[in-house]
Amino acid sequence: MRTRISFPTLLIAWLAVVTLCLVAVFFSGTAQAQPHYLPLPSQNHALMRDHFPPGEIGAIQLHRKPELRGVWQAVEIRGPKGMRVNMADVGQFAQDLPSQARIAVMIGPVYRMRLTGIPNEPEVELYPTLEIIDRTHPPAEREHRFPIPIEIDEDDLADAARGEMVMRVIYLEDNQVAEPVDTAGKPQRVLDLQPHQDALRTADQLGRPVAILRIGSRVPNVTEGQDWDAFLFGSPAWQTLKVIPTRQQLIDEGKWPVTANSGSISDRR
Amino acid sequence: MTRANGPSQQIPDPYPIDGNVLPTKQFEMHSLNIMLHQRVSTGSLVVAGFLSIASGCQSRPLSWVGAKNGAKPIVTRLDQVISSEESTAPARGQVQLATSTDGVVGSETIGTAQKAVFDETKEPVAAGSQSQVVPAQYATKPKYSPIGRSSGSENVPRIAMGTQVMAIPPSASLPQRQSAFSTASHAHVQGHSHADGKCNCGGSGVYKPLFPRLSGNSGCQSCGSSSCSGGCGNAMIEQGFAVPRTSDAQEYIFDGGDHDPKVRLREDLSQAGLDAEDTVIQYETADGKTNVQSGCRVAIYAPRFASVRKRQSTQERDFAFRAQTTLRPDGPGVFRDQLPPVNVSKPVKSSNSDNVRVVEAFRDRSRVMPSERIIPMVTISDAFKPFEDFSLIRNGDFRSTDLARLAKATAAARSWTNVDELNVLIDGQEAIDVTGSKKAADVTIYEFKGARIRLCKVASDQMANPGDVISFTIRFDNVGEQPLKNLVVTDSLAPRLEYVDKSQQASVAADFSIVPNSVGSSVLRWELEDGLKPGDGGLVRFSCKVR
Repeated sequence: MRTRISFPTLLIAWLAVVTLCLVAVFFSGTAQAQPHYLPLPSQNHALMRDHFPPGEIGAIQLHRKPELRGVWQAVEIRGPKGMRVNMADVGQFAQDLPSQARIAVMIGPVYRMRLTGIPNEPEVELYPTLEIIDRTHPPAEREHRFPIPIEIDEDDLADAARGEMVMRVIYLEDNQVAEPVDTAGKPQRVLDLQPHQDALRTADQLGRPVAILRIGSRVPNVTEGQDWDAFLFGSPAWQTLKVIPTRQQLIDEGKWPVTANSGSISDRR
Repeated sequence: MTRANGPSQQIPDPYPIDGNVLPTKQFEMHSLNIMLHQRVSTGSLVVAGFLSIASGCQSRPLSWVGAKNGAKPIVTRLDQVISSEESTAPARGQVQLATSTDGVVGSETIGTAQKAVFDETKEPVAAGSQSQVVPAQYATKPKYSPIGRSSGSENVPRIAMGTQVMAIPPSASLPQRQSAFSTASHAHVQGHSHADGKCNCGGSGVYKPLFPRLSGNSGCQSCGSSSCSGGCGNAMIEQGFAVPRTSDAQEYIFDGGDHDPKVRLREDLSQAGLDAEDTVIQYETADGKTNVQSGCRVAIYAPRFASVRKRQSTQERDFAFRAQTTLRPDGPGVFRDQLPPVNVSKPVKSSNSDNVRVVEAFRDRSRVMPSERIIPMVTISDAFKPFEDFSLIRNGDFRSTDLARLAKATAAARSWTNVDELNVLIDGQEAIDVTGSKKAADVTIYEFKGARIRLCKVASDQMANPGDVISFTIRFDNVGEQPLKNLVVTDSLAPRLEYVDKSQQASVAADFSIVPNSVGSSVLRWELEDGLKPGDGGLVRFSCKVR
């Protein structure tokens, strides 16, 4: 027996089916779109991390800031007394740099150095790398007075000679929020991090990172097939800055007016 | 070398059928059983053949693989039949992969299409029409590109340090090493020709520096030859460009001015909003109002560096992790609490560029200087120092002849002020940005009826290292019409400035006090005992040590 269905009933049923389909489609779309509205993580993803291989951060910086290309940046390498520094130059290590030598390096490439004469470790040679990732903006013709200090203390050398990997990120302090401590004539202030902390990110929070120094215990091993040129990172160019005479030298040469309050401490360099 | 006409070319059928091709109408038979029964073998072959051809048309042409490996190409497309000659010699304007003798695959671009893009004016030079001498410095280059290294004195890279760098060693000292990327980076362009019609740029290729060069007339940049006249215009080579001199506010110590929030006076006439680096003068007018006027801003280049250190070793990592996390809080939380997070991306231009203006922006609005405005140096121990010995500091009279002196001798005076608003002088460095420069029309209107005071601050040095002592001089003048009283000069020092004890001096009778500020430095305060009549002025002086 067939039951006759009236047209309004059929229409209502049809509309109900269509409504159910629309609701289903709406909720399915909402369910699919839900992942797009998830809250972002509380901490932003860092573009650069400290575990990047040498040269990676410099390359990123050059890509982000093309104006850094070809810029010479003055650095000053300091170390404990007796330590000798040799910079890689044209496939070999150059002569010893004088104490507290000021050199001009370029931003981006990685510079391989050789450290000898390490205190208490006369037989040990270390080969740290130096990577300049940003520049400073000193007044014109005064670049030599404001180099980036690359300080290597005895703890760094001892740890590296023991087999540890020491990473130093040198940053420029923000003078408006700088720590009100006197740093004149004192070693560079160092903040020791724990292994799980990102040195680059911490330095970025404290200021503007400008250089990365990595000191490890890796030594060249050419006899076992190591690429010597790759070890030196291609020996990028560097220059020795002009030696600035000290104030006493100028006084001895009669080029310094001996007055009571003339000059400043920085002019002695 | 001719290009085959695809549709008219005879296509070799990879799946030939022995002449027994089914007509289409046979698929219209009603009885499928009959068809399957009678034509099953032939029909299945036809269908399989069509499917194979269709799939071959959609796949990647196998001829590319064959050309790369030096094998005879396999024809798989129906409408484009590429002969074996074409696979090894491309058509004009077509890019293909070429195989050199040592197996390194390089990229070459030959043809008029490339010429039209790079150089539309010059005609290609015929092969052998001009002898190319390859410089010796481009014969071999280091495997890893020495960034910025140049081989000749005329091709030195951009040197931003002036004459402080020595000459780059000559290329003869470079070791003769095999270049790994020489062939790969060798980009041939239209018109690049040599005597024998082949490329002999260094034998194995051309060294292309990564960074731009300054020299615009160094000849061919793609081959390095100075005598190349073939229109070597490789658009991929970056040209040298002048980079404007920028600065970073983090490298400067500022002192002076009035940052936001501005200094306001409470009901008890104490100052609120006095931040570090602020320098203001507080005065009471004849009608009983108390106002605050800020001074100019002094910038001293004094960068300071510090470092973070992290030690890692496979043996002690786990131990250090557990031991240190149980003994002390996680990480340098103290620093994070005090310092705002700074993003990695820094603006290229200095954030303080809006405060820098040119010398020409200064216009004097003071009237004729009366003789009584000359400050007697009775309370200051010695005479004017060299950096402050000009008429504006000496007697409050600004002279146009002192503009150069102001910019030169008043080292570090990057900013200046006159009656109405701040102006800035740039000393020792180039103008970074010019914003808000006043025109002459802006200074034509001047009213002498109000109470106005001018505050000027200069420093002895424009750059300093930690340990240096810098002298500051603050000059204030009543340039209005009213007598002022209850004047208070306040200077809140930057965190890197340490007041040298007993170094303050004042030309007028004043009570000096010093209190610490919120950033670890000091707030210097001079309360003038006497008022200032219109036209009067005075100065205070103190010294600070750069931390």
